[in-house]
Amino acid sequence: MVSYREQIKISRELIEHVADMAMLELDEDEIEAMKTYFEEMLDVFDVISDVEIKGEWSLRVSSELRSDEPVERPLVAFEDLQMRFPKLSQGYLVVPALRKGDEQ
Amino acid sequence: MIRGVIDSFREGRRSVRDYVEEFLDTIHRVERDINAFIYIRDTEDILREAEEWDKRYRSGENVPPLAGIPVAVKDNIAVSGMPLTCASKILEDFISPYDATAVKKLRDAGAIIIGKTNMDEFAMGSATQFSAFGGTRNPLDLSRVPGGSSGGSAAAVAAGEVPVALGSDTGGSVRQPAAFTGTVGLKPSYGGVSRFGLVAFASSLDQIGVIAGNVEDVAVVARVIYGKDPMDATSADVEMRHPLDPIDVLDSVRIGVWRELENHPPEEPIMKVYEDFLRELGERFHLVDVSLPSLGLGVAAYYLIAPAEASSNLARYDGVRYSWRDYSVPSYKEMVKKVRTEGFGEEVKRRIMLGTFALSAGYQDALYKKAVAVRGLISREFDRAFNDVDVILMPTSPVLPWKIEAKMRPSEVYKADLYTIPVNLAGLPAISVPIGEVNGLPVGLQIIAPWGKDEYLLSVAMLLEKLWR
Repeated sequence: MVSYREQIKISRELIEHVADMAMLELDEDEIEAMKTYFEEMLDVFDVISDVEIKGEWSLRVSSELRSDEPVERPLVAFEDLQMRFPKLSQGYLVVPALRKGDEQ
Repeated sequence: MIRGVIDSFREGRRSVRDYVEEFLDTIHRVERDINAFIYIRDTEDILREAEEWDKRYRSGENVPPLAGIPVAVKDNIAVSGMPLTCASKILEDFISPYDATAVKKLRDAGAIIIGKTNMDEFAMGSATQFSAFGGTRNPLDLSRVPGGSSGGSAAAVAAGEVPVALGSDTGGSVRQPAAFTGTVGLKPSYGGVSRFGLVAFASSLDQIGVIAGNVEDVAVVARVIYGKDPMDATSADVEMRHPLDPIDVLDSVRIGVWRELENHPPEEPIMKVYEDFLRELGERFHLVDVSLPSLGLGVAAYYLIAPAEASSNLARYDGVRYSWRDYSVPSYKEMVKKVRTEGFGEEVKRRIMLGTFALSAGYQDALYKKAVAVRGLISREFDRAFNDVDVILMPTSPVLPWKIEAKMRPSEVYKADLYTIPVNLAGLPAISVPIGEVNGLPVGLQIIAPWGKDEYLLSVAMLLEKLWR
């Protein structure tokens, strides 16, 4: 069995990349602590590293994931939105309150 | 017990107001030490509601089944007009605009919601110490943790602050704190109770559960909150109409005992209590060894699947859809990062990072897909085992409640969920009932049943509870 630690190198760059995807900022100490945490968790995951993904087991729960590609969605023009919501506050559009009492 | 209390209200031997006041007095006396609640309703409001029920009892009209019973609700379950913080700074000012289905059913049944209980932030933890509102202490030993993540609910019941509380269970978060506080905790079959209004942590694993001082009280509340709900497509019609008389299951129940526990033994004193209990049980019942060799893989699978789902579910806390908006930064991305970095606590950040990593390109096959395969493996093993037995027994936790100041690495704490996690992965119902103690600290027995057999599970739990008590 090849351990996950041998398969996956937990580098500072990897932690920074994951943090960016997770929309989190980590300081120097947190990056180091997260690196240690990831390495310890790889050790925890080792018990499943030689589980085969095939046959009936994988059919019990869907494991289909979409490809990890950015999805392009058409942007709504700011001018179009401003026609519906003409009032601005600090650069943001002011929209009607959803609940009574939230008008402020 | 709740049924006896309701009878006393009906017969005029006790008023709802007096009953509720006893709990409010207890809260006033012990809450400073225990910190079980994040929010407690105004006393006058609570007593006014109690007096309304007194009037209705006095008038002799038919009242719903929980009329006048105080209930606490974990702070990741929506109660209209009350805070819904998930013990997180990122939601510290959020007030729920609606009731969760389980809460609506409780209110319709006459329960008086007392307040919202403390928890690990977004239900991620096993000790109720990862809370933005301070940790909860175990009422049985204030130097120790009450378990988690529903530790506030369990502590509130154990301390006599409320007779019953709702919690949520994603990997053991109702059963483990029940075991740590000497209370009873039920995790329903997946889908048995609607998740509408439960703040999502790991949607394929989350369930709302019940904590009370005894199995019958758990059953009384479970009957109210179970049922299919059009607001939750994953909810199901799981039968929960009336508890069976334990005598009905006495002669027929086939009890299984997890064979591979010896490969994953609990702390020695827990093992001794468990073996003593089995010895006594074996004198009355035929116990069957059942093999579930893959349960030991559950922790690894869970800590990939649950963080993966959490990383997606918690993406909504971005300063736009939820939480405060920071106008001091120049771009949208910086604003989202700033709010999330300041708003989430350390354990939540760890799990979001781990989940994002597990789902990221290049690691899905090696990590996430293997975890999903293990989940299927564990489900199949349970299915096979339940051909031969009606319920399976094992301890609820491999460890006793640890000291609050104990320094433990996250991976060490995660392994304490070893016995409870497989139940969530397979979507099964399970309950923890106390069966003994070690130096004043309780030991819980976990009873697991096939999916949908929740009513039967409660009947067996009542039977075993009677044997121990």
